Amino acid sequence: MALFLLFGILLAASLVCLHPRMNERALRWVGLLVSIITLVSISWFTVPILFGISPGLQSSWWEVNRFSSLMASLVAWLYACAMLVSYHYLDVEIRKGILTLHQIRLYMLSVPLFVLSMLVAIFANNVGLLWVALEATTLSTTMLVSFYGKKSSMEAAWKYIMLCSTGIALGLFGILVMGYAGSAAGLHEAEAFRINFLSDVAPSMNPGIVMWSFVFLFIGFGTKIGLVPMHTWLPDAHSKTPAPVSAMLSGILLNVAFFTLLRFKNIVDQTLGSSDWTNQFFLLFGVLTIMLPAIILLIQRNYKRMLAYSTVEHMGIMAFLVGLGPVGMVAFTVHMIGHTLAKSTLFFGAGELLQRFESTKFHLVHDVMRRAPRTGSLFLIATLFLIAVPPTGLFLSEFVLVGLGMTVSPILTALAVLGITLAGLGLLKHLFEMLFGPVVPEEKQDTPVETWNLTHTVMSLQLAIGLVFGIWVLFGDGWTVLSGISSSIFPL
Amino acid sequence: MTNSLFSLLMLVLFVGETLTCFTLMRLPSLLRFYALSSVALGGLAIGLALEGGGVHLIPVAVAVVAVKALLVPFVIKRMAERSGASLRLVSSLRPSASWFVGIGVFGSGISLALHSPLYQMNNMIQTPALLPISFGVILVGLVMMIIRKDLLSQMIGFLVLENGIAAFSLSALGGIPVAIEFGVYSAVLIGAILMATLSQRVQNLLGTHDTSHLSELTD
Repeated sequence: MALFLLFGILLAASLVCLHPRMNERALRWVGLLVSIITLVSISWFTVPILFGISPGLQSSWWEVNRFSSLMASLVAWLYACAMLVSYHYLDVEIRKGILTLHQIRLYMLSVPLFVLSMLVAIFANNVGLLWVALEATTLSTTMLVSFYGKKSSMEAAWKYIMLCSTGIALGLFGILVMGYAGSAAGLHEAEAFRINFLSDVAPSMNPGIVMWSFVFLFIGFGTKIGLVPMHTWLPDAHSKTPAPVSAMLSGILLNVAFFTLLRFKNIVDQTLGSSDWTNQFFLLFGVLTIMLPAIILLIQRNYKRMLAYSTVEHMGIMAFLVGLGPVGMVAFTVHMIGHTLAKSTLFFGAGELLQRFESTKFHLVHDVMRRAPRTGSLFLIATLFLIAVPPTGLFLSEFVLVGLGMTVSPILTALAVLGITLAGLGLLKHLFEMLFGPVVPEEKQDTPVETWNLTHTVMSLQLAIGLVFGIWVLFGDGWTVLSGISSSIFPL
Repeated sequence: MTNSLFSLLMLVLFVGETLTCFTLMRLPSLLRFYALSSVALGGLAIGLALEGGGVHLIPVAVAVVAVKALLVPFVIKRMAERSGASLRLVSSLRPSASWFVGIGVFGSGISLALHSPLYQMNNMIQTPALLPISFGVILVGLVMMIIRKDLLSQMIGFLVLENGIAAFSLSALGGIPVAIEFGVYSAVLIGAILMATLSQRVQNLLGTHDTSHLSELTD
């Protein structure tokens, strides 16, 4: 009931934005207010389940367990942060005359629908509903990719909708094949589309058919996750959306798609009686997804694209961790949380840089530490978080990747470590050039004096939480708690 | 199912019209044949319902025809007309070569299906003849999206692929629960509207819907 109420609020918030008498200030307030209501409602609903105080829920359409509660909490948190940043970001864009009321309306219409789709995808027990929700995440954000109406935005939006929709369509094919395997194992029509029923009959499903199904699910949802070589839409789309939306796309949407794939992996593993076969996929594609962006990061010329490629690399790390088995799955959970906080902070900072320097090209942004010291410092700290400097959560997850990976697959682990190192070098190289490099004549010279704003507050808050989280998993009982949460989808 | 003359006719029409879609180079005729192939898909659902596949397939058939044969082609045609897009479409292949490639791709899909574990268990399949055909149609849609060089035909390639998936669900599962089916068709319709809107904006911005003009984003 609480879930439906929240879904209703999100839907209503979206529809309210269509009201012709809403001005841009009212639209921004509605967006902010609804995001805070969502955060409070989701926290009230999921925190008891997340910490094992309440048992969770299951019905024919919905399933709420500890892991899905974690995912929903991350969605709600990032939504609130993104809307806080949007409040300031959109205000600046309006004052500069970049955006119109019509565009603000589109923005505030799309974002709640996007969040609603993610929450439905997370809590769905019915695979059909899950598929529709995942497709809705693409549909609700397409117009945000083409938001600025430039030629490059159109190109990015076209690639985004075509590749993601095709990927998700192949995912649907995989779902239908799995439904067929479930029917053949004795499930009735509707039961064959429920994850808990599929899981129950998994040991008696035909392994050949289930393997076929997983190949399509992996290609389909792997496209949405951004696994190489299905990633080509991601750097374009994530670099063309307004910065707060980029933060949500990179920070949480890909995790939602990943979570979906993991739910099917669990069923396949039960059918095959082992996770070895599916783990090979994750290890191999994980390494590819680390290596390719790592090389591109070295030659990158645009800082928003740099962050997008870094997201691809981190999806590779997360895929590799999943391939390492149950302990890797706990590290995956740690990495997912750490990446969500660090990457969204960086995209918020990227938005600040873009508004100040009016370019996303490295060669047109220099001496940030002197000209925008607040954004520069926070950007630097967030980058250090991202490259897993201790005591961050990412340090622990990458430590597990090396330690456990060497026992599982030394060659692939060595390649993964090489890729992670190259990516780190690429990020630092560009970052130092941008932060400390001398100003060149071609770039914007007269940047106004920087003052502390809402975006800086959100960035600081995220980094503080990231730091506390890192200390908690490294020195506290964070690892134990997260082991319990990840075991709700993958038993240890 | 294929024993029934009606279903057999629908099956032949579905394949023929899909393959024709692969070769056509003008938007009105491409949309017409896509709509006809969708009508044939709706006919297959009705055929299955008449043979005891369940009355729930009747509303599914109506939805297929309403969404895919009427609404989606209407939206695409309307958007293309409003933006003044050229009705001549762009492909990497000549129309005559398209027939050979289309048949080759379709045959590969059928071969893939016949060697798949799905077909080996064909005692469970509701309509065995449709299963390999659905594989062929999916592959035709995928290849169409790759070889076509304009936004409108790529969009129709995606819709052809989606028709293949719908055919697979009819074949292997005798359709999926109605609520999900309607969710899927809603997603297809909204997706088609968004794609058509984007192609219209590209046409307005660049004066063409040729994808070779969309190559700015590189590293």
